[in-house]
Amino acid sequence: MRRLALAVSTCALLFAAWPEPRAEARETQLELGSAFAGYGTYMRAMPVMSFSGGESSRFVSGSVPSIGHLTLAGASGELTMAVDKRLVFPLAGLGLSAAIGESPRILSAVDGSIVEQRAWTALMADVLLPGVGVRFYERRWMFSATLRTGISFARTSAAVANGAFTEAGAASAASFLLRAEVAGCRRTDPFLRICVAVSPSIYQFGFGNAVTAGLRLEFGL
Amino acid sequence: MKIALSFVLGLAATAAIGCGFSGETIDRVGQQDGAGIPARYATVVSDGCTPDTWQAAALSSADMRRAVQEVVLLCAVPRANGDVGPTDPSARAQLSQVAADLRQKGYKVKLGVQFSDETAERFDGAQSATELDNPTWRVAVIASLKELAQAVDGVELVFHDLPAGARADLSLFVKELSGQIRPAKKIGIFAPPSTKDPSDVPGGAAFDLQTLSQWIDRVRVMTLDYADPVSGPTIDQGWAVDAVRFAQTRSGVVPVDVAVPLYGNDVSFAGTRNVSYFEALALADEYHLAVQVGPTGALHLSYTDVNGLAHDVWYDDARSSLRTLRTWGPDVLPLSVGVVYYGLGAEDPALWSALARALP
Repeated sequence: MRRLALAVSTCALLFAAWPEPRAEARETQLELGSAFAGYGTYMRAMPVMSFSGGESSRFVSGSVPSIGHLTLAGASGELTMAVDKRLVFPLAGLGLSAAIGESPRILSAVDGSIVEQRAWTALMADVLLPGVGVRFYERRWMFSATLRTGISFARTSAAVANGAFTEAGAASAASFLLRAEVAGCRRTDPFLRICVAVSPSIYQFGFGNAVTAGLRLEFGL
Repeated sequence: MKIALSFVLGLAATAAIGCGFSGETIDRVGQQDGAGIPARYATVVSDGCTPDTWQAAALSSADMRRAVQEVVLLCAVPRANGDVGPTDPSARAQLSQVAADLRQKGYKVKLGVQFSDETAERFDGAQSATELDNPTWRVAVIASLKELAQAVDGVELVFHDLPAGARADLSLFVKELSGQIRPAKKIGIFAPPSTKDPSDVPGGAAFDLQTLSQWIDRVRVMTLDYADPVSGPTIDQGWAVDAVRFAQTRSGVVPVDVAVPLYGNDVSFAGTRNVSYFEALALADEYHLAVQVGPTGALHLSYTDVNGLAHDVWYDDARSSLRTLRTWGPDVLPLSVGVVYYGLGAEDPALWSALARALP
């Protein structure tokens, strides 16, 4: 129910902020811009991952369970196109983040061998694909709401037991990403804005599974 | 701009300083199928003809009766002259009484036959091979076993270090024994934990499981002493799976057991010595040792004795043994695979109650 409410409210926000058609025709204004962000992400549940590892005694591959909730921090960069200053199309971007804080070791079994996942080594890459959003302005302030797509990749280092020793392996997973983002920005000079952005993930390794918040520098729009 | 830079630097600093292992280990082994362990046919091996008072108490407990269905008494020892000990009437009467008591408690009882020398402590594979090659010896031993087997539900054959040349004679011996005691009595065999052909373990080449499977009722794959002769855990769960799977490819429809050690090993340059759970605890106490947990979950101690000799001790407690059992979900080892617990009396006494609780 909460997930549905989140999706509906995001759509409503987009609809309400959509620019009204103008009575008189004029030339469409296109602008390209870039943005760089530092952000933190809270994942409610990391996904079930695929593990493969072990060399000398036996090679094993299979699923390992979720390592649970995780907090990550990272940075991202992206390209954006604005149409008539109000309609915005995030084009492409890349976000890389790593686990922060202290995390547990998770033991599980793959094909009868004990596997240890090291949650503190978790890395995540978000390949950001096109989206759509709107902006509106109030003097030097700008507010935006965006819906965007992407693909998320997660990875942790892991090891498989071999008697008194362990052998290296890795666990990884990928997921479609659908993320809503609301941001408030203040222009500091003609080419730069500083934004505070909050991005609940509608889908990222599960519905309503993550929220990202961060500071973003926007150039050129 | 400064705010943004501060934020990014703050995140980087947090990432650099705060990352790492929290010290907590979360055990999700087998959690996909629930926290319990799968129900398998379980056997416990007791070294000797008569369980001592401690073993007897464990065998009488409701927990063990729930967790274990069969008891193997490692008791009989064939001699070079074809007799099978124990031979004196008093000892045989005692064996019959023990078997009757165990059956009354609900267990099936098997007689373990150790093809060792007369001390029952040392295996001489070359001597066993010579004996197996002797038709007269085989007839005499089989006749004795037939008589001994009257008191039990079957016999379990235990060979060690047999040379590869004894392969045909071993099969012939089992065939002849089968002809005498089956189907009224069952025959099981303790097989070395080979994982490939030709065998990768000493004595493994002597076991032609494909041929033997015609005349036996159960194969007990002795997935024990994994690290032997060097220091390490007594079992590696993945290795045990490989050994059982290999045995299954050879034994066809004959049920296969995976072995779980109840004892630990104390390894030094002087050799390897079996230790019980309580002995390991006493060593930890005596030498003020912190108990380590190895990658498989087995417990580990290192100490230097009063003579300056360095020792490594690997052993299990109830928790690590249950973890071992949980790694073998039905998707890994089918439920037709049984478990044979080896070394009754050396285990963490909490094991049986933990097992009884964990069973479905």
